Amino acid sequence: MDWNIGSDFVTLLAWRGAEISALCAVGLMAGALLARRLERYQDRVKARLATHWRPLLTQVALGEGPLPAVSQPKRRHMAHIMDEWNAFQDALRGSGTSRLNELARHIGMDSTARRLLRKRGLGARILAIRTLGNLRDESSWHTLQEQLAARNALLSFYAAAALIQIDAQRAMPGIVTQLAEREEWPGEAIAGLLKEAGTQVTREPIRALILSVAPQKIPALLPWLKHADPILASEVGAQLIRTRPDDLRGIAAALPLLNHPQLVGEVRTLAGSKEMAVRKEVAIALGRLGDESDRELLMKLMGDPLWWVRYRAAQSLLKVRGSAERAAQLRPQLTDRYARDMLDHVLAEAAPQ
Amino acid sequence: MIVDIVLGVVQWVFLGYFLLLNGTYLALTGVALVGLRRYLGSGNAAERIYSRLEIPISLVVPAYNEEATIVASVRALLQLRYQQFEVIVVNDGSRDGTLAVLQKEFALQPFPEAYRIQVRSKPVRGVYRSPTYPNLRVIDKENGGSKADASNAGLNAARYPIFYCGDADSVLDPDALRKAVRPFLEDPTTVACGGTVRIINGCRVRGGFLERIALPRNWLALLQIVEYLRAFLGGRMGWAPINGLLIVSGAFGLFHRQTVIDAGGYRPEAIGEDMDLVVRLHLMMVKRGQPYRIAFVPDPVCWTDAPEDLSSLARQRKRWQRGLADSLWYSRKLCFARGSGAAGWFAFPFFVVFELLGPVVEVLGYVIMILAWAFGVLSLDSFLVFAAVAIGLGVMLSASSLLLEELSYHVYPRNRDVLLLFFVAIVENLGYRQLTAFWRLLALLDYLRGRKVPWGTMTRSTKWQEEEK
Repeated sequence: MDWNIGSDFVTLLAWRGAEISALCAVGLMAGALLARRLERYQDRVKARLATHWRPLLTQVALGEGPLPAVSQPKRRHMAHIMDEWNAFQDALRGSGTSRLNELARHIGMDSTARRLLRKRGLGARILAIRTLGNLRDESSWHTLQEQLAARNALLSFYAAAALIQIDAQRAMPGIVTQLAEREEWPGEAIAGLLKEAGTQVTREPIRALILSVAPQKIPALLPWLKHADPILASEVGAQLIRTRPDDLRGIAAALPLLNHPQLVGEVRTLAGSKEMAVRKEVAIALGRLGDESDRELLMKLMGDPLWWVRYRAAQSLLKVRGSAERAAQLRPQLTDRYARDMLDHVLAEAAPQ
Repeated sequence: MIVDIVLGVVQWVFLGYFLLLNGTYLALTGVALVGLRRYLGSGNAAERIYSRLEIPISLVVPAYNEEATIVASVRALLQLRYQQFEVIVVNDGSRDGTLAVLQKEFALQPFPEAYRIQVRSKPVRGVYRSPTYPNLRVIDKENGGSKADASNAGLNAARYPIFYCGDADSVLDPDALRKAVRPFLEDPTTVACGGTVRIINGCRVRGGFLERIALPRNWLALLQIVEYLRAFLGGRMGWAPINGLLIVSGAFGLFHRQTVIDAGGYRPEAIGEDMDLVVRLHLMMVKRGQPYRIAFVPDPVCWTDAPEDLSSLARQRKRWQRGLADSLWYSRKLCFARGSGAAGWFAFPFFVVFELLGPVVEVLGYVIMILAWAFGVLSLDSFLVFAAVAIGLGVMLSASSLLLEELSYHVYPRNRDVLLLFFVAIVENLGYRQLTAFWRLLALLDYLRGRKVPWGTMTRSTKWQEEEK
């Protein structure tokens, strides 16, 4: 075909655009097929490495005496081997981990991990942090501390775990400071870390920080104190309620810490709080610490404008009355329609199915 | 002479429009590629720590005349791999036996729920719960005429901080909730999260879960697979990292419940309630001046049925276009709003210029070019060159989405699937794309005329379900 396009600049531009886009499309398609082949190749490599390294790692972890002779793995395989090695480390406790560490240093995993930590990829950095933590690599302490303050929650979490593995006592003040700042850290996983560090190591730094930190940071720290030392947390909670009557958010966070019936008096005085979160926690706390004498207060809270306050108050009423049947006897005394509805709701939930 | 000048200007305008449109999409694909690599790079590490953490989720499932499929859908939802969740089926005044089959299958009993009215919906007639499945409740309400109204009733009954809203006939990945909840865990300012929706036609489903993934034989469904890949992996994955996501698919979305309640819930009058809610969430958060994030997970979390006949497809596309116009118009204050970031300064204008008005420009472009060629003003060569650049850019964009798919999930197992999809990416530019642009233009005109268009009946392919038998 004789293309007459040279005279018209726009048409020429369009033609060049069409050519480039067609070439790009073919290139992208080839890239897609190549990516597929590469993925399959990598799967095969991973499977081969796993077949070789899993029995070897088992032998090292469970064996005694000198390490078996291991040839230096290729640099491009090291990340896969580190993955396998970390999985073994996570599953093991005791002397097996020391032998695994010995093997790792022998094949240069420590220097590879330090190099990976300087890379941009998140996956590579997390793998490096896990490896350095499992290796108890003290020489990476400062680098790991920098990662603890990283914006990314995953990086900072894994850095916290690694620092605890290396030296829990030394790591804890920095980690506790992060606890006050990071709402996005996964609660249950953090609880696991603190448990690993031990109550003796965690409670004092948390208490010290609670007493010195700005009031708005306290609520984030209180659950961790409860986790570390429930008795101390109850005392601190009661102290906060007495000394900071205007910090409603702090009070709402402190109420769940109270665990002694003697503190129920503090709780009752807060039932009329203007803050919904406080009233809800009061309703829950009365179920935990209160007794039969709290039924009037709970019935009043069951008429609260907010559903959760009514719901928790009704649940607590069942607790202080001792049984659903006894709680149901109070229904005629409830003049508020919403309170009656909520009692019916909670009784139905508690009914055997 | 004047004709030549006009034609020259028109050529520049259309060429510029196409280059800008496709250039922006390519830039979004680039952002998506970076985001995807980052997401996949941290995948295992994130799962390891977050899989133990639970944010309880309320699953709201509006159902209207779903007698045939509702039991299987609910059973599948109850088997999702997530520790703490509740399923709230909202029977939106169905005229068939939807409520009856649920009552029979799950031995439902009336429950005196203290139902909270926080967002408006038609009155609730009753609440039921299942003795065998304590986390299942059924809300029976008067028909509100929209999914939004039913979703609001579910929202009122939801107890957990995050709620999922989806379609009763979609199939979820067993780990869908674990994957989609991750942005809420990583960033507490997250108020909504969407996930990639894939097309189920051609696949095999057993017990409410996907058993085999394959491409459909129907050409319309195949064409939509490429469209969905482009829209989700290329488009939404590109908008999310810059917090410019304006749509979370109605088939799968997780939302922070209180934030949605604060925004007034779903708007029952909205034509596209899913997009409408997300744009309003943007607007509300911008007005409040609070940091927020509307996230997206690229994992294929939800599989949905694509129409396999032209009339159903036309109705669906027209509804989407009217929904787009309605949502953008209703929340027009977001456009260039102070502090609205990428959502107000980039995504909103982009959606207006390229998504809303795109069909006008595209159809007008085709008509002018054809007329100019027919009247001898434009040479056949030039006409073909302009057609070639439009097709070439379209194919390039689709091919980039196929590359993203291969770099991430490569769900279609065979090499020939990829080649077939590439072929489809070329073919879609030869008629299908023009047809959808024409439907969208008609829908836009309907919207501007204020014409109310009923939903109509969507003919669904149920082959994937039939194969289960």
